[in-house]
Amino acid sequence: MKNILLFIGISLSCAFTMKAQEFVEIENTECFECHNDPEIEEERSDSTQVLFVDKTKFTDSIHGDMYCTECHIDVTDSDHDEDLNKVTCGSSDCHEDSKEDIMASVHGETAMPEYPEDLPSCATCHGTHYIAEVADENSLMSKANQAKVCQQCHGDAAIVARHDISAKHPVAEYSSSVHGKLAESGNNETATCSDCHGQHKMLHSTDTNSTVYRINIAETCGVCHEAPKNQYVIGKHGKSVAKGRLDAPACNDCHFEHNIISKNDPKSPTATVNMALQICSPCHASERLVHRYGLLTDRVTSYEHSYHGLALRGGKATVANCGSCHGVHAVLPASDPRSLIHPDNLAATCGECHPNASKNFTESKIHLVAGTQEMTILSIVEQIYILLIFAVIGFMLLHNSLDFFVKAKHIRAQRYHGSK
Amino acid sequence: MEANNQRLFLRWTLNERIQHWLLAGSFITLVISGFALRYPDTWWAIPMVVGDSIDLRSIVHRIAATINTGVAVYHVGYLLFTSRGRFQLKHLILKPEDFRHLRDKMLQNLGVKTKPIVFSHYTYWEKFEYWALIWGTIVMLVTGVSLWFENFALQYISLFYLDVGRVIHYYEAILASLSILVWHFYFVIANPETYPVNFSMFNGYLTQEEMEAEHDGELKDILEEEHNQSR
Repeated sequence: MKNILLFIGISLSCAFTMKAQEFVEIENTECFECHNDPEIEEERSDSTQVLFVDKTKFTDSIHGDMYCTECHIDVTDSDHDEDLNKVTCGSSDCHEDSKEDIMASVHGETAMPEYPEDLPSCATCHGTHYIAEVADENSLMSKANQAKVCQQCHGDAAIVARHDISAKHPVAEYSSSVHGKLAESGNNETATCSDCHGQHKMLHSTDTNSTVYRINIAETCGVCHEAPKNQYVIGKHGKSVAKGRLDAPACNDCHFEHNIISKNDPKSPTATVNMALQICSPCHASERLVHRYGLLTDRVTSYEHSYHGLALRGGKATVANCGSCHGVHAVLPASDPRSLIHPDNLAATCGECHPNASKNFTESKIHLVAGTQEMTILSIVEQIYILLIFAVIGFMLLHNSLDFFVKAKHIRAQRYHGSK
Repeated sequence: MEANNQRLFLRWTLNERIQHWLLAGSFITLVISGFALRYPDTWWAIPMVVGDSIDLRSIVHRIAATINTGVAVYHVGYLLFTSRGRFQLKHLILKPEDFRHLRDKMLQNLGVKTKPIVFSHYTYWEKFEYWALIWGTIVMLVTGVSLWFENFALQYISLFYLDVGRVIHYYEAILASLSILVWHFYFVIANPETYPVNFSMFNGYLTQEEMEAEHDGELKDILEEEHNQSR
């Protein structure tokens, strides 16, 4: 106990001394006497360090009214050492919270012990002397620019491979997504990387506190997409995910994540022609999931064999797909009065496409699966026809081949012997 | 009429040949555009599913269905209200001897001696095919129309009957296509005595040799009648 108290005490005093970082007030004009000269450069052993700082641009930046020495604290005299320490944004009393967040994140100092050189610094994302407000379009972290900054590392195949990052081309995908295109067009409300992944406290998607952890995704997307989110959380999928059944779909399972495109784009998984095959069938036609959760069987195959399914496969985009009847965000069981397929709502649901859908319509089974009376009758009709086809065509083949060989023999005899 | 020193006998009038080709054209179009719905990934379905839409396929199918139905309706009128049609209908009616002919022909082909078979205007294989075609057309028409006008049909029958109709439409299509391929194309094309083709489908006439082979009874009647008239 004593040890713990001592530890806390030392930690606190350390923190306090860090906070009370002292700097020497040297007027910036003094610094700019040298550093505002574009020619000022110095050969370093590893690279050429640009020592030029544009005075106007710095003054316009968010830190423009600060002393240079507030960050470059080891400069105590205008005639300073050539080798200065790296600036640390979080070690003063300025950006401590951000530092804490970063340290706990996937980009934290201890996150990649094997490749510390891959660690992004504050400057990697925010720049150095000319940092603007995030809302400013010139900010590296603005909606329009942020993805390009993340791309520096996340678009580098070597880094992606080295750290075994599952998203291989997140930024390229993002750029062609609805979000990315809006960002590029100057829209300030669209989602960029940090809107979904968090800012400094970016956590791995398997971390339960992550904004992109399965259970949290709806909340993350719901910040902007509130109506679909409210639908989703009352639906079977949303409820299952909330209960921690991670096999149930979150937003990104249907919409994808970085490459979200409009449902009007035929390449989108949410496009009418793709929904059954690309969205619903991976789970509802999965033996494993059907068995694990007792899902109704043959939903997808019975759809595919129906006229809707056949027409859809041929590319007819106006035909009903899974979502037309079951809903998309609020998928509810037929027993729920809010469900589109609740008996009371069927006339309206089918009526979307089939005006005056009557009882004849709504009282029939839609998914004809083995075991139902309807399917038994259909199978019998099928069996009778198959039998009939084999019998009739088989008889025709027998009759005709007999006829063929007798006639052929006859003609051959005529040809070679001249006799009838 | 004569050709190559052979006497020719009128088999099909121009009207009948037009009926035949309208039927044949619409039938083949129906087969291709129909199976293209079930098998859109096959090479022969390609012209039916050009672009991203199946609309072309369904429009083609419905146009062909309309032509097919039109010919069928016209044909019924033709049989009932023209003298030539009534002549055809009279000869098309199935008789017990047609079944005997079938049995005897097969027995003969197997080498069993039977009473000689005398074919009149239509052979048993032509009659069977004709009535199979009538049956098939009715089945396809009823199921097809109920699927085409599904919203109308559903006011009177339950959705389940449309599913039954869909199954029947599919299997009857297989039966019909295979019948044409195996039965009809054998007798008018692949049959060694007919090969390469029964030319009457184009010009309407059969040669005396062809009459002897498949309509010997009718030929005898014609020649006898002519003989009586010339006396």
